[in-house]
Amino acid sequence: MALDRRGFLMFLAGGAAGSVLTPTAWKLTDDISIWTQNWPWIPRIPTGALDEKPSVLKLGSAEYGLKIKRVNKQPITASGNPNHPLSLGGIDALGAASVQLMYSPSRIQQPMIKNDQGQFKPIAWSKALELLAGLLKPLQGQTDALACVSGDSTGSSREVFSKFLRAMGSPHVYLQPADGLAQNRVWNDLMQGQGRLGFDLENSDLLLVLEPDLLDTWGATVKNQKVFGRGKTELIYAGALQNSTAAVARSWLPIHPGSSGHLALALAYCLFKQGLEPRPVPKGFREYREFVRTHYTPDQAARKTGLSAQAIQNLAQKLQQASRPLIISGSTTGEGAPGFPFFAGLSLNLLLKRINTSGGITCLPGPETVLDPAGGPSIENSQDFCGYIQDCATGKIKSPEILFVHEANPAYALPDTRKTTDFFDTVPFTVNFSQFMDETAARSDLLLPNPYFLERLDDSFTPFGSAMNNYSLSLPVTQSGVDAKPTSDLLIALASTLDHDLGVRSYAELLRKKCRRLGADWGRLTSGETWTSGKTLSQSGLTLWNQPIASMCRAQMTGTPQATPGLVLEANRKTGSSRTGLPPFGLKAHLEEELSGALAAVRINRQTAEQMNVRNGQAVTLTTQAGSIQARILLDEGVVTNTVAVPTGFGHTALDMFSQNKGGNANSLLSLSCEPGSGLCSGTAFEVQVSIAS
Amino acid sequence: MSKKKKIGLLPFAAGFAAALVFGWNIFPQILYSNKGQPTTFSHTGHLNHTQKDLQDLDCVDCHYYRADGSFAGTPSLESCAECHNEPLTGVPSEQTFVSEYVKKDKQVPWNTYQGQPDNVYFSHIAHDTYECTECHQDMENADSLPPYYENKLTGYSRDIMKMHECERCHARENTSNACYLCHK
Repeated sequence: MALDRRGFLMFLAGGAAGSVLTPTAWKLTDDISIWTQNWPWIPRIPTGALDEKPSVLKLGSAEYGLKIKRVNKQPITASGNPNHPLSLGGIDALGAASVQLMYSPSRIQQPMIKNDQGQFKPIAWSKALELLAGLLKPLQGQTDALACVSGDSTGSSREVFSKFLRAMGSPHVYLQPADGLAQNRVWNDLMQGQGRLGFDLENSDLLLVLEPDLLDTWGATVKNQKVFGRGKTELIYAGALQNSTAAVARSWLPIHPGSSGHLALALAYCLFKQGLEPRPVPKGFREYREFVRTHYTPDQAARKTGLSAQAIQNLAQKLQQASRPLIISGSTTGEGAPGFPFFAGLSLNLLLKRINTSGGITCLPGPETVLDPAGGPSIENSQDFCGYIQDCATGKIKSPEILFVHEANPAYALPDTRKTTDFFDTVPFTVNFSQFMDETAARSDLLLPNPYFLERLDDSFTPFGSAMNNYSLSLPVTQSGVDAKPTSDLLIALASTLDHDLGVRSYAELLRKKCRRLGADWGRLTSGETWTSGKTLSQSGLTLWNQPIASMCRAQMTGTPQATPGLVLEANRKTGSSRTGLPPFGLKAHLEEELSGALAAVRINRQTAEQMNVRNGQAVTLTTQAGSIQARILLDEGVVTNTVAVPTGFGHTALDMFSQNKGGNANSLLSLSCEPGSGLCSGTAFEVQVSIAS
Repeated sequence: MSKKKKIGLLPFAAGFAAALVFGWNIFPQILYSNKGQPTTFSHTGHLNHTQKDLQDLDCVDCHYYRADGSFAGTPSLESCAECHNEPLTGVPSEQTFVSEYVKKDKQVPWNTYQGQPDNVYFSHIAHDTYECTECHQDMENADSLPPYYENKLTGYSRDIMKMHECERCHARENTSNACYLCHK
């Protein structure tokens, strides 16, 4: 009965025959095919009760209403809020990724303190506050010992910071540079205008955009896109590169980089030629006109801007023929510029009688201040953080002992990265309230994470670019997934520890008081509605020429534009904001040639490439006075000759693995310089050298 | 020679039988693990409630359609807590349920017997004209929850409805069997 070879083979044959009559083979085949499709990293669709909650995007970019779709109270996706005046149902690349960013691997999970070895270690909230209070106590009453930089220009948290620092005896509360801040300073400080500037794009019939990317990074971009989408407004773009706005504008007027201010004054020259005179006549009009007549003759204007005299003349004619023209000036990135282009653009609007009129510029009352209505200058009129760094570097102001960083990433976003990091090195103790481990957080000493905007109650008062004042609440839609505490509440508690009364017991109380002061309905605000007000401030004493304006304009008359290759920075919301880094969905949003390996593409046209002796796809080094970055050449006729267009948003050294080591930081190419007259400090780079990377 | 002839088909038969035993009995035990449910639940206990105001409890009180037409499926913790915020009976499992889930505000991680994977769109309300028991087990008279078997390879429930079953019914009912009907 021993099993011989033949018997064994028959046993196997029997087994095989029997298997056919069992589900083993078929079931295994089916299951293996399913198994190969269900890897643990593939996200699962959550199931459960669906609902939508309103909130407002607050990530350091355009702020507008969102609708957050949730499953079982867990946020899963964001869409534009059709009822919010700055969204109208639209959304941008950062808003679309805002829910996913909440789960970013770079989220700071808990309060942390840096040890002697430079590593972050967790610390309990109570101990962190005790430590901070201990450090702050001896600094009370010292003017320069404490400073704060915030990236939130619309929230009431700036009031809390302002009040806290004033209670400590410090006036050093700053905002990160932005077009809105610079434009309002030019309007208020130089032109003696009242209120904050609004832009009534939707009622304008001709929009002349002088350099900023209206549809991607300037002002209320989502609303701007909606206005453009209606097709009722003719859009003309003047700038050195074909960005999102130029690409869809009726016409793109290619000008030298940074020459939009000159173009505005050249247009003023043409309007004067046609006999235009503003009524009432602003102060300093004759001197202004004299300056324009002297420096912006057709030949001079053509040389300064790169546009032909005829093209400028035609544009001026178009402006005069339009019934509701509006001139928008600013920087290509929306992150601040010298005062000159803002002044030139505003002066042109003034000449065309576009102030406080439909489709023009609206002068809006500033935000209601709750904590200290009578105390000190409001934060938005104070100097920007670049100016503060410059003053510290030159010894005009003593560097602070403690620096608060709130919703900002200046170590990455500010021009002249070297100078900024040098500044941070001089600060003995930096406290960071960021949600993400960004470049500034990595350099900080104490991390006290603020909940993500979808996890906390906050507010937004009239983001820059809005035509009218509006106020909405950024409502929490979920509980925080990390151990974070709202910064404003933390400061209120900290002030109490230091025996200061900020006037409110909680941030929610402050927001309720603000709501009452505005005459808004809290219940309606918490249900996602927006308070709006069409009130404008009438203007008297507007000035077109005075000593600061003269200094600012005359400083522009030196130098020869475009003698050497110029640099122009281009921003795109798909690279996120300086705080977030590259947002999710970038894989779909970025073109293949925009980012190749660790090198981002810089755009030049064919003629420039021939002059520089470089070819498409070649790795190069861009060098300026301030620094250098590596990049790859992308030939593109959407850039004017003798100009290199460098994208911002790349070159992060912190944040998550999706943002790190992707391209170079364009801000490091800029030198920090302060403009005579306006005192505005911003990044400039007139010359860039392009060499083939070794 | 004659000895060999005697055992001629025996190995074949043994192999055949062994394969059948393995395929139908042993293989399923290897493939599926009995995971059960995180807590016990008695359908009969709820449907035949002794408390007067709960005597008219119906299936749809817990297994209902939401306002948007989607099916709530297994009730959420909030639904359970409407009655069981505190223990109502002396039953130990109820006390455990209240202390472990209700008091900790933790959703019960019920295992779903027939939950379809993410790549399948299934609408309960579109199948509302059929009796629940045509697809699901009859739970109305069950005092305990049936065992939940999970496929170790796929992670799916053993009792999940397979595509051929959907297709067969659709064909029988003269309903479209187009891919996009379920795979959006």
